[in-house]
Amino acid sequence: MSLFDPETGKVTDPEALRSIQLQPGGRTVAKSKVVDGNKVEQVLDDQTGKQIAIQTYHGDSDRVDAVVTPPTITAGTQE
Amino acid sequence: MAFPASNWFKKSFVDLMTGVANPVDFDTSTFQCALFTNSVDPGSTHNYDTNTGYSTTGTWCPSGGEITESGTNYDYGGVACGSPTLAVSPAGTIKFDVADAVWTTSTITAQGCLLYRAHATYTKYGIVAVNFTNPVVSNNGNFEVRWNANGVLTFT
Repeated sequence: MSLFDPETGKVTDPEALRSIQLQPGGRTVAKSKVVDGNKVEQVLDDQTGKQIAIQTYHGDSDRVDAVVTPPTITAGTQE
Repeated sequence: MAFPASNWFKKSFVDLMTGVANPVDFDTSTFQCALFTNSVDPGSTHNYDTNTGYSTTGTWCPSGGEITESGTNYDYGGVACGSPTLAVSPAGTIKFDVADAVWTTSTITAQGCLLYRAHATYTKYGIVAVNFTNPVVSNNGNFEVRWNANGVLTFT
């Protein structure tokens, strides 16, 4: 089970809330967690501080899987 | 310049609504997702106003920062995103959505993606481009763009 919901970017493990760290300015630091021997790492959106992707580093090979979860673009909200 | 901020392509909609021949059909056209590095050069923050989308030259093209084919298991133009739908959902919102894009056994480092109408001869109209703001990496694995459950693009 991932620490992060790939759809919403929300933390799924309440215990993980205790280890959240913030950068100066309040942005969340990208987190990682080992799940079934694989390192699961967040990629954060620099603009929003929210998760935009996860990368899974497989412990038994050099394989890395990436899942990007873009936010919906809403017309009228961009420059 | 670099990969521009996420946005939608205005010209695609202007052409659709002004009778330009062979515009995008949001539930029957074929759509593809292409991946780009941070070398994309839009030239202007308002590139989305006038740019038509994917092409052989210009902003969104193989030589314009698209992921190279060599050693990546990525093909220029990207992969198809099927099942396009345009509908009022939820009430008061027009939602455009397509199926997810997946590159299997890929070795890719991408800064963002472009979703566009793919066609052999007609204009490859851009729909949206998404800047991941950080490079996202796969290595001999799956690289997936999993569109939001609320759709790729909405009008409210």
